[in-house]
Amino acid sequence: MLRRTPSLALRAVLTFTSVYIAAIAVFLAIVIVTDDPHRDPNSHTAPKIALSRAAEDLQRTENGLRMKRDGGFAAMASRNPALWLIARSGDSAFSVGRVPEPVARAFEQHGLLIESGRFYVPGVERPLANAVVERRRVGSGSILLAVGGVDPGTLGSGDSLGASWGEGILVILTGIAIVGFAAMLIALPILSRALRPLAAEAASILPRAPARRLDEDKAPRELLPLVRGFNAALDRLASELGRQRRFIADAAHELRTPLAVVALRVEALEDETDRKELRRGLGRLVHLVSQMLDLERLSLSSRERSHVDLAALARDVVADLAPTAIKSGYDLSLEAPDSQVIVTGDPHAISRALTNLVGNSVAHGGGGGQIRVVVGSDRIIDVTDEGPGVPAALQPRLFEPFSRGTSNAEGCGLGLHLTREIMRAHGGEVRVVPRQGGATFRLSFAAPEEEGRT
Amino acid sequence: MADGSRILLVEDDPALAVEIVRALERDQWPVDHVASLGEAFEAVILFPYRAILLDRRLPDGDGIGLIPAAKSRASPPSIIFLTARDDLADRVEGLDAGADDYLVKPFALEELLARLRAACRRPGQATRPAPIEVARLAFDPGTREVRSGGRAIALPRRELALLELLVRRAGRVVQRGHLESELYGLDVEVSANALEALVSRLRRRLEEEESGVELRTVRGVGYMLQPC
Repeated sequence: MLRRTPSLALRAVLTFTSVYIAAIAVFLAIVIVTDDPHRDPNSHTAPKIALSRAAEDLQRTENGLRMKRDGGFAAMASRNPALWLIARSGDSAFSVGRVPEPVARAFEQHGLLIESGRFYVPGVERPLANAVVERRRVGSGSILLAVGGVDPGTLGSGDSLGASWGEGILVILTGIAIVGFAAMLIALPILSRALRPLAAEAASILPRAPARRLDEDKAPRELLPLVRGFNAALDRLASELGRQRRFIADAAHELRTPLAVVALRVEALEDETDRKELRRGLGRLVHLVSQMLDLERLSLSSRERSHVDLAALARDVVADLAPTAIKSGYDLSLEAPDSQVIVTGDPHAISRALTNLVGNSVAHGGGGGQIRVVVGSDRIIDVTDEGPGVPAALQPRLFEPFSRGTSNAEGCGLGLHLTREIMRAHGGEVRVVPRQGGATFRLSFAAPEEEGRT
Repeated sequence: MADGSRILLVEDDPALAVEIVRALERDQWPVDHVASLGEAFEAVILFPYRAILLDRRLPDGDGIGLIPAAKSRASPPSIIFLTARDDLADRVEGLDAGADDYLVKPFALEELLARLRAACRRPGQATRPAPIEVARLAFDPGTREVRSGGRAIALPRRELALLELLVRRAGRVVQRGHLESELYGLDVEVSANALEALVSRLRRRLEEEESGVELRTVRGVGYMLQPC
């Protein structure tokens, strides 16, 4: 599969490169326009370039100085008929073109004293009169060079750039490019690190905490539109979720009055058998409706919370359910530590979660044997029966609404689902613990919250 | 039922109203039915009802509005409100407003009649408590007399106290902690086995007397008295 995730790094590199190239182009344009040697008759740029070329192309041999025939200077000389050059290294001298007499003489007499200079050759028209003299290192020795008679019109703009900014310009430009890329490579991780807390916050927004939002104060200003958009999307989802929950609750409420009518009619029936059967069916309907309401009420995390002692709570639940369990043929027992086991939550909802588990064991525990409720000091409650256990095929959907075992026992289609929703709202979980013979359902709770947090 | 126990039903759902009226009449309660808050005000002013069955969601307002008017009568009727919401807040609101009782829809007919009977005898009719009977065992809360199959049984003080606690909640579990604090008080240090020894003495006695009840242990929680 082809995966294309647009990379910020790639885009940044492309942007940087194009901006960099554009900047260089503008810079070059300015240099060329302002430094045009054609404009300034006093510019010595042209002879300077010629001198640099000559210094590159001159070679010292046993027979004295020699000029490369196919070098830059030779090319320049072919375009400039008036070009002249005189070079001297120790005893050997070399000249090209018609060297003006005063220059030749000055070389002869003061050659050892001159380091560099610029001058005009008298009697020659500008700009051809411009000339430079300079001592250059060539190999182990030095050569004194004088060049003149160069027509600036024959020079390219590259020549003039090199002359006015030196050959170092390329190095500088390359350096800037490297520094730029390096800065970008360092900046990108910083940018993604700035995103990390937001991503973590977004990951903590779960169905049980639908009211949480990304903190706009903590977001970098540049990312604010994204954060706001994200929060607004969550708001829309939450309001839709709320509407659906309210619909379920309203529907359940609306069912109550007609159910009351049917209940009274059933009581008025003459036939005893009919009445019993209808009463049973009605009982299930009423149970389901109240479970739908409980689902809406108990699984919301916005309810008030307090510190709850799981040991005492389990004792109350077991006491409440013991008569039913005993009547159904079970032996119900509780094991709890003597000390308190504190969690934070809604005691009514937690009781309901545990009641549903014990009720589930009574319904599906095989009709006999032990049902043990064990409270651990690590905030765990296990409910274990000795029935046939949970069929493997049923396990994946066990906590979904209306998923019921094949057994014909009076079902609580929403019971285990309600337990899961309550546990989620409390930051805990319910699961089936694998076991030989029978079934164990485990409630595990999060550590209690500190005082002052809601 | 006598004429002094006339009942007013305020319920806007016609089907439910018909069924309630029919059920009450079967049980010999004289009943008037109105379907709105306005009619209910009129009815309350015209006739001194013994009890009012009051729906809260009425087409012209919340049924709670009727309570002050009804309670201002010379002999105020008992008010039982019927609610489709069994939210705690909802019930508290109704009771705070002056209602005497509530019923959550859908309710069993038996429950409706029981609440009505209770509401109608409430003011100062303390009747002598009837003996509590479980199987062949009978306990008279007034005299604390215990009988098994009609035969009086004499029990030691502590065993009698334990039996009373259990028999008053027969069929339900009474927690150990509650039993210990009731039997031994809070400040006396109770040895862990004291209660168990007491329970097994009482259990043996109930068996010997063939009372037809058993004293079940719910391990880790407490004890329950129930018919065998």
